[in-house]
Amino acid sequence: MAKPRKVLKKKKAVSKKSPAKKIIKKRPLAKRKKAKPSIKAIASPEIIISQVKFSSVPEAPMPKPKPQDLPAGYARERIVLQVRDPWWLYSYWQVLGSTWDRLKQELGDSFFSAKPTLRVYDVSFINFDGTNAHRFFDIEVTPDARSWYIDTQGPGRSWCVDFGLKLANGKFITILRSNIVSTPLDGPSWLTDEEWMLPDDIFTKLYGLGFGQSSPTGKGWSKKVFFSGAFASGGMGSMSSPVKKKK
Amino acid sequence: MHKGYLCLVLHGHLPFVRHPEHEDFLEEDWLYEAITETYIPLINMFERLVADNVHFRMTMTLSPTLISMLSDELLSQRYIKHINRLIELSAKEVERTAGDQSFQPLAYMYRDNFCRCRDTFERYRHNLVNAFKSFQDAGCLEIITCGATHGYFPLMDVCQPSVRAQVQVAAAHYERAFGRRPRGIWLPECGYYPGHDQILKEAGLKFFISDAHAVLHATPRPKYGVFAPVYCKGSAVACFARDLESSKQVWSSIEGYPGDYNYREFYRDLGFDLDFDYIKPYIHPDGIRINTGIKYYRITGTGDHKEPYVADWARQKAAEHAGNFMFNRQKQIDHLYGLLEKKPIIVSPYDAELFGHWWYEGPQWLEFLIRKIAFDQDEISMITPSEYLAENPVNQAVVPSMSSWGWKGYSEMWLQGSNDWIYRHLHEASERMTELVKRFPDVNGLTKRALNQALRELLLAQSSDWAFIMGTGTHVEYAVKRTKDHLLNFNRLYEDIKSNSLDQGWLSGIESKDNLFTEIDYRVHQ
Repeated sequence: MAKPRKVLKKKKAVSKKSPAKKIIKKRPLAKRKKAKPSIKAIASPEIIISQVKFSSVPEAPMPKPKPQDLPAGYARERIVLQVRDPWWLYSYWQVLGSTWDRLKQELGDSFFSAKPTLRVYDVSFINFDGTNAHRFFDIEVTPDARSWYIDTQGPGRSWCVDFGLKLANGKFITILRSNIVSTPLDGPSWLTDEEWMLPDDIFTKLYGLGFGQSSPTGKGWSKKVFFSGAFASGGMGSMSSPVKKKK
Repeated sequence: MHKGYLCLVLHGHLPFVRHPEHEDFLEEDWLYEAITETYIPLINMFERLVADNVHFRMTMTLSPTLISMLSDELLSQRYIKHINRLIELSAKEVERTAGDQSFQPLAYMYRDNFCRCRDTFERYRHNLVNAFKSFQDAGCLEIITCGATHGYFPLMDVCQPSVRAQVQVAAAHYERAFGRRPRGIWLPECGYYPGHDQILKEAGLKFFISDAHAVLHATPRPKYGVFAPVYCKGSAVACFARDLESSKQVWSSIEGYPGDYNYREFYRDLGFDLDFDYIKPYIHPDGIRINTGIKYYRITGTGDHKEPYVADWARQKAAEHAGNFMFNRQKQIDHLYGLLEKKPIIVSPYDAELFGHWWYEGPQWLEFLIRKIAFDQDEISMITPSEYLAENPVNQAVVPSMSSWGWKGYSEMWLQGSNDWIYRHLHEASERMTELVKRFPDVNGLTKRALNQALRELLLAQSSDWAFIMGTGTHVEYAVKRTKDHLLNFNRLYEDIKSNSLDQGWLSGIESKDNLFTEIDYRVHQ
């Protein structure tokens, strides 16, 4: 085996046929980053450390994937709504063929001019019944779309989405209704009322301690004994509620 | 008298990567590298601190998948093989660099380090979980749990039984590893979604760690900002939020310590630098060059030119940076103490692999910091979240804001064009799992085994790591394959269980491959 005496900075001796050479070319971080603009754009420190964690070796030679793949859809008809950040939601849906067939029958010719549409309801602070949203807006989606990112421009609000058909006459027919989600605030809350809390289990322990139940000298006094009047004094404070409002 | 607390939290996690079907599997190196470069150096540091009677308190996540891999016999055997190869290579390096005053000391350094790794690994009977447990039992380390497979909870909200399963399986797994229930949890990716604290409460968890804006944007406003924990309204589970100032000092690629020119350069590795014939026995058998972990250069500067590493200089820098970090915390705590009129807690969470794997001198820095805090000052007191809550049981009740510590602070890292396709399948699988639990509330034998394996496969598919890797664009093929393979296994189990047509041979095969959580009970998924 060759024994080079020094660490070689740029080794040229690798055969061109060697698969290693290709890998070497890929290695410098700067080059890799250039090849993946998406990473460069998002390279927060957490991402960098995780990249290092997961990418210190090149792509593994994987066996060929099995012919079997995940199904395109499932037997369950649904629309799901998820929160991406204070402004954006993500929704995916699946409508069964039988539902489309039924709609075709019911709507006749107007089915073919109808536009698949997402109706996005602002349902903040209400029990949404389908009619009482504060407001809604529509997004016309492409006929083959099965998912969509929705710009709500509304941090700190609650949302529900219907997937449906918008007819030429403007009428909206709901096919699926989503779960309700809330976008987080993008800044501090306006609410400044403070509420302080002592968890029940700690309170229970403290309550016991108050009656001397952890006395190292032996068994403490039971609550029953305490309230029998044996320890009564003029000014026993009231036991505070574990949740206490502070004005 | 101390005026405030420092709560250092290291998050240790790796996805479950175990491929008995291959003799050599590149992604298994993630574990071996982490053991050599992070976990053993941390264990050795804890040992020295304990031996020297240095008072310290630290908090650490050991994710259930990491615990499973650290306790796995096959992976342990493979690690021994791996470290032996490195010892052999470093011994050759000592010979090869003979007479070279720059490189030979480094070759010796690596040889000694690798030998120490093997000794440590053997001392703990090939299971490093034993080491961490001993420091927890000694009272200096608080180990917290994590989601069973590091599933990202905010994007699982639509199927809460899966969030519950992630938490319950993790807590039960922790209990078997450490002999007591976990008190706290690292929410995977610090992903908090309002309401999930109730699920944590059901598992007996008292606190979790979040990013700063979970608390800063909480409703109502937090009186003490991130410098005191808050309780989640209703559940009374405490939320400790990250302090960004101390985070930045370590994390930041511009101002952060790890970028110092005296520190070791990560991207110059012997596996790529040396003659192919020489290095061939120590890289992948297919001839693919990989990192060996032997790196001879310091960062030097911004350009490509690199100078040899000088261990003493780097060590001095680590001491200097530890002093700087402590000084800044003293100032911060002093200021906050005056402002808040109570002792602030500075929560500084880091990815464990930052220390050693990425920032080679990280464990040294940490040890200097801990020793300095113990001996050189009396303003800062190290504390764990459990200890803080015992001392400060009354805290403000709020609803924390949905958040994560990932890119942009919310869910976009795990929900973008490259990975959003997975949720349709993951959610369907969750629904199916819930359906199976309802339909088979009490079964035994083969069906029970299949139901338990179905939950294992579902949990493995849910690892946030796969979506993350798809999002970053490296190793995508592997992440896609893992997501699909676990879902395909799950779907087949679902069909076979329902039609009572289980193939015992096939089931045994996937049980022995995806063999984590041996005591799992599928009924937690509800």
